[in-house]
Amino acid sequence: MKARTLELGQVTVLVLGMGLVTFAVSGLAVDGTRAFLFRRTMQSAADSAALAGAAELDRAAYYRSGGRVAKIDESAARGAALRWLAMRGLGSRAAISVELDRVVVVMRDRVPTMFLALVGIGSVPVAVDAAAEPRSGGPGA
Amino acid sequence: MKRHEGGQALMETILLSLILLIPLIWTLGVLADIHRVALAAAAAARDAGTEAVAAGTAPSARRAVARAIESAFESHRLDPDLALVDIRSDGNLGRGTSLSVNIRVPVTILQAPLLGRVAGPAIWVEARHVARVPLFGSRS
Amino acid sequence: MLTDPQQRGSSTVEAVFSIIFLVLLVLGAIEVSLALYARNVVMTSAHEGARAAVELGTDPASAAAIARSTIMRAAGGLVTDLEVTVLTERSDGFRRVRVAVVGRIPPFGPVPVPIPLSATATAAQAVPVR
Repeated sequence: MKARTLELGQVTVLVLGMGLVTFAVSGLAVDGTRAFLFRRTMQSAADSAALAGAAELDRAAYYRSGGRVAKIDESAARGAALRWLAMRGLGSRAAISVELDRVVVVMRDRVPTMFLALVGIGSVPVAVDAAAEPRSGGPGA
Repeated sequence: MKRHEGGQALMETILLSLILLIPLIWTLGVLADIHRVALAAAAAARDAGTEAVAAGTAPSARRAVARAIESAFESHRLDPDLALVDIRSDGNLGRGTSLSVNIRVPVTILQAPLLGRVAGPAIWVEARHVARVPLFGSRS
Repeated sequence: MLTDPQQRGSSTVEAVFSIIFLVLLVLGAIEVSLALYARNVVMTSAHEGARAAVELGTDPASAAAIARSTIMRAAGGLVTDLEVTVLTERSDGFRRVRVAVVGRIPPFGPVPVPIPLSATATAAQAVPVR
């Protein structure tokens, strides 16, 4: 008789434990998915901004060299990238740099959590980067 | 009699674990689907934007978008007809203007293994790409 | 009665079996997650490889090289024995690159067998009118 009661107690603990594990896993799944999807959105915005910036060629240098020098106009590139980021309206922190003839866009943000907030993790950091450079000459030429 | 009771705890553990396994596998399946659809939608939006801005006219841009989405979705083994596409241009495809491609795809949550897609609750995954019509470069 | 030595011994054994079973279950779930994730990564890498090849490749050889390097960079850390096959063609005013990727995830968890993965992707780009 005593053995049976002890088993019932074990089962209760087991059920509670599994319930907690399920809740934790579900929480991780939901918050992880939200963070992943937002990161995809940020990546898309960074890609767009970098591509828009890389299109700003230094036209004077281009025409002077007879179409051989495809160099980025730094300030115009930065401006274009910023405009494209503003178009998305994400509100994430962004750093735009033009280095060695590439436009690099780095974005950082924090995604608020729903389940993890219950264990003290209020938000999850996400970061993305994108780089684009101009190419001269036609594809498949 | 006592040994039979003694073995019960182990049987209950196994039973509970197997019952827990079913929603766990289901959750993993749904998450993997969301992951795949998000990757496909992001690729489709980016490719569609890239191809559309290289097109010279609105009809050819629309065709380019359809081709890009079909290609991206087929690479990810998804049905391209699931995608809801919204294309907006702020300057009639003039050089330097922007074109945005917005794609929304539903991920069905209830999927019986043999019955295929069950019409029911779905999680919507959205991807957007804003492309710039190139200032230079030839158009198709 | 739990004072019976036989009963005490069997409950310890049960506890051990229960723990082993649960650990195998968790490892199995992790392996399933990893396999599903890797499958998605391989699919998307194949597509990115094909796109990079069709956008950046200037001839069939460079297209193949670009496809391979893109796929290796994207999936090489996760998938072993990666093999990439690239086909390029030009027809109807389009350049097409078709990519096939095969690989495997190393054995992990309760199933000591490597899991094979494969994906194919095609990308096309309209040839600009000169």
